[in-house]
Amino acid sequence: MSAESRARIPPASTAITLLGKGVGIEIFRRKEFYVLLFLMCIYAVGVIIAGAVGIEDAATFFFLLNLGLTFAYLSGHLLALLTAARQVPKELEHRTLYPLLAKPVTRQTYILGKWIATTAAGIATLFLLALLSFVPWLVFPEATELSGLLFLQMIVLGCLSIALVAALGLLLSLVVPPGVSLTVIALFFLFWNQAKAFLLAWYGDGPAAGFLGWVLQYIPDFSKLNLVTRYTDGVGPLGASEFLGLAVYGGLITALALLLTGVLFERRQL
Amino acid sequence: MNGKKSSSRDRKGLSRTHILWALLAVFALSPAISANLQPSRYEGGRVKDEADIEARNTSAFALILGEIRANVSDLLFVKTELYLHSGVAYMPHLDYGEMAQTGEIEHRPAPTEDREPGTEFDFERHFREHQEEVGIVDHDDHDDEHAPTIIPPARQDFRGFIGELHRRVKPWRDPALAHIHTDGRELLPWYRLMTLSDPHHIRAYMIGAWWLKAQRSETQRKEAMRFLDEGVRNNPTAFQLYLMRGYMHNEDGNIELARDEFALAARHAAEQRPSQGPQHRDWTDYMEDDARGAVRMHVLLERELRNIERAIELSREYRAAMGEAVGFLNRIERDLEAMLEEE
Repeated sequence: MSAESRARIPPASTAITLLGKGVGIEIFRRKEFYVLLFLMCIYAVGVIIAGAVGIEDAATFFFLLNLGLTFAYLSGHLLALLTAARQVPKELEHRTLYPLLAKPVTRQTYILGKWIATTAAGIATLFLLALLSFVPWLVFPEATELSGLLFLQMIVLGCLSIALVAALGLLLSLVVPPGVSLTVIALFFLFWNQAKAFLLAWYGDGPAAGFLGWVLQYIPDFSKLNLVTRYTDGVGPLGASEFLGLAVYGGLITALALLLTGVLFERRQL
Repeated sequence: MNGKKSSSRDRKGLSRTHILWALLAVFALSPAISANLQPSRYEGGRVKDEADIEARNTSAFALILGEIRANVSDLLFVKTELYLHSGVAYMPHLDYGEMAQTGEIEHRPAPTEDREPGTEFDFERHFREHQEEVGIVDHDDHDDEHAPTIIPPARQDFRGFIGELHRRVKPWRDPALAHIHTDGRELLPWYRLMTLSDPHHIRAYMIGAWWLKAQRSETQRKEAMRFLDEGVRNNPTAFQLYLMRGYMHNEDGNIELARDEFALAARHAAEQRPSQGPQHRDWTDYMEDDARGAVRMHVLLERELRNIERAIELSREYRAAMGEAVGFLNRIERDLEAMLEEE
């Protein structure tokens, strides 16, 4: 490659920004985000009405806050997953992937760009809706027993969890149809913790119980990264080591999923 | 030039492969750490605080949201109660409609309230009440019980025809008649689900174990003990579970094991019991009765094992820790002192 042609290749960051813009436009064209926002607004209006009637005690306030934060948390994940799972299949179906890859954009950059964009969309949704979930505070400002540090930890781990969902969404969309990948990840996101407990309890006394417990740990457990109830429950922040451990846990699986996606996509016959 | 390019590609490829392998290696070892990361496991919190639950249940939102507010395990519990009464909704042990109206978390029975402090604790009655509370009865028909139903009888119902229709289309039984308990065997998977959904649902462990035990086969008894063991693992300070294990060992004739379980139950109960006893918002009458049962059984089993001095010492310790709540120990202690003198 000549120096001249190399100079014409835009840096990866430009390609990622452009891919991000594309994903952003797609999100705004589709209706999921507006549906989530609309539902959250219904929640906010409901809380304001409740405030007008009167939130009598802190317990009700924390209950409402938990409801709002949980919805915001789920919405961020749902949007990231919906967006990530259809990126590659949709571009293959519409044949828009070929002109894109004909440009000086590597496949890794493409995957990275899609992942960053879908993660950012999920995080933005989480932030926006989490802000709305604090509406109860406007009508019940007496509740001050919330831990700022735990809130920070909840947000950081929530963002990591969204990044993980996006990476897994991209990965599975390469091997199974988008509907299947959506369903599988959503089921694992919502129920894996209980399913794991069931399996361990069912086989808890068996000779290979330790081995089973070890193997089950390989499947990502999103509930570990969800601190919403802990936050509204008034329990103290996580210790530094536990928080760091959880961040590494989320980061490790995300990085692995992303690398595998890159490898699979690179080897894929288009 | 080409050679340089390919070697640069190799290096790149090699480094990515290295990263992937390194990550895989770390991932392979990760369960050693991730198994211990349990940020959702903690003691206390507003979700479990009974005063907070009551406050939430009295709010307008409770009425609007209905059962959505309850977690899966609580919903299952309500359903099991309905099942045990053939679908007839009796006034609650735990009922969310009632909770939303009254704000009360638990139906509090009268029997312990009318007992004077320091008077003899009727253990048999306590035991029978407890069994009935958890649905274990030796007879199916309760001649002495006339629990009120959620749907009122015609004589108390102002709704006239609508009320009549309500009674006809929903499972209902006149509260003037003795209520009937159905067999709870079919509920066993529900209790399993309850504890899987909420491993801190102590009552589900207790009732599930009772039903298992009630099947009266050796396998089921072992299963009941395993269920209780799991409950203790998940709730190491739940004294009621030690108490139940104690009863089971006692029935099996393993007196020393039973004594040890009752000792643990009594120790945890004495530590947890607030000085106000059942007047405290977090300490129910059932807990009070279970605490007394644990203390009583611990002392009595020490006596049975002929550790008279130890039994007297324990009795004094428990009286000092729990005061008049364990007034029945006075008589036991006198008997023990008499036995000691005879020896």
